Amino acid sequence: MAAFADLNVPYLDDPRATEKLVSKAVKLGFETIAICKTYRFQNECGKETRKGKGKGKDRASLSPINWDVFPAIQAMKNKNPRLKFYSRITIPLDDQNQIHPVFTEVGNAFDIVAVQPTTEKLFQQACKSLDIDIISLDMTRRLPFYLKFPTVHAAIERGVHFEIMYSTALRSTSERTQLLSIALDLVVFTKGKNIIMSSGAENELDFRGPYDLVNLGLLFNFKEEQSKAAITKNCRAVLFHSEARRGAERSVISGKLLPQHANEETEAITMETCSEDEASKGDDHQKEATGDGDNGDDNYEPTKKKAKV
Amino acid sequence: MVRFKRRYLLVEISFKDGRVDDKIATRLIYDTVKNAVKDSHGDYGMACVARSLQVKYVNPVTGMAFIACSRDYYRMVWSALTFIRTITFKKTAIPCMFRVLHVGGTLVSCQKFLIRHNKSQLLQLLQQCKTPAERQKISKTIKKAEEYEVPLDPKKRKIFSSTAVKILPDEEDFDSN
Repeated sequence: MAAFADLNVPYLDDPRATEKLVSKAVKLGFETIAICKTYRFQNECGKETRKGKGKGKDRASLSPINWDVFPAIQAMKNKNPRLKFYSRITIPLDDQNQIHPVFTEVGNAFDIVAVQPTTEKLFQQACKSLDIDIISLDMTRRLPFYLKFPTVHAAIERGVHFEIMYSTALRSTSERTQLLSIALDLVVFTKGKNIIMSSGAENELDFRGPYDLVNLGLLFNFKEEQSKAAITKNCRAVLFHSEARRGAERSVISGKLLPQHANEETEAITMETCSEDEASKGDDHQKEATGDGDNGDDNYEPTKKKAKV
Repeated sequence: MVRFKRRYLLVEISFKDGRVDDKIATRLIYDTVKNAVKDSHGDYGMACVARSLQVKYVNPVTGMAFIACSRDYYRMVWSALTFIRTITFKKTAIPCMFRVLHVGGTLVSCQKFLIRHNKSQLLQLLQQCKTPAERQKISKTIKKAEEYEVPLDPKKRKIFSSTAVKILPDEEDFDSN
């Protein structure tokens, strides 16, 4: 069973506050946590970019956000090796022109890339072609467009996931109604697949325990199994998808040096994805790799990843 | 004759910064839950739940409570619990969080779980201890708690009901630290 995951813990300006949020999430039983930054276009564009590049450099050590700011998180990690921390960026999209410059800057600097489209056209683009992991819809207001089956289906085919951020539902009755209606819609269109639930909580008390969330999912018309998958399996799928997006261009197998074998070049490469899954599947991937090796289509990659998970 | 099937939700109520509030009482929690059900499920939900909703036990020091309701509608109560943000006490709203730790079919099974949970919590505290004095204090309570474990045997239930409850207040001093 995959561990419980919360892929949206906001990155607050005060590192202590962020640490507090993270420790609360860990206390509730989440083991995979992504710290999320929101990209702001006008105000802090330059600043964010610089930070992003810095993170890109030390990606090799698997610490994308400069974790030095969070000593408590490091301590937690040492204490419990099962905890995993990732970095994520959410980009609100309002305009077609924004897309290109942003993605060239951000692309590889963060583990997970999410977008928040506000128009139908951008939503379509996000579903069909953008190189992202999560589509997060603004659930505090009415959706400015209708979801359409082909569009949503395209996203599912590519392995892109939709996000339900539940913390807004706790704020007021109207926002709760809004979130429920959009979430219900989303579940109808996706048939309960490819949805993740995440907190986005800016306050310690906005978190909820994993089993509470599973139960909450039943309100969205999830089936029990899907509801649980929304905070376990699907989150893992997002991480695999992001790994595929960043690490490997037009390839299926990615490898990582294990520390103990670092000097022996022959044994150096292990199939990372296979170690996560059953090793027997590795053979299948090999075949696929040789068969479709020259397939340059972007859509090719994510579907493969999805199949693995 | 079939008995009326219930579910018991073991709920942990936590406040900001891990503080403890000993003002919470059975009645207060009952009202809060009832209002929450009304808010999130409306009149229909209220009608389904109202007859069977009960707060069986509250421990203000550990912030634990047993909430009972009929088995058919416990999901409704549960989802209402997740939407609770504040407890209103004498017109001041205190921000809080409800978290369901366990769902059981009988009170005894819940009680067993609660004791196990408290024990593991104590062990965690023991690991976090820095001074030997603290360590001693906590290991003492753990020993004490172990003494009460035997009466959990259903045959000796009579003793159990009179003594086991004492376990909880003892540990609490540490929870609040």
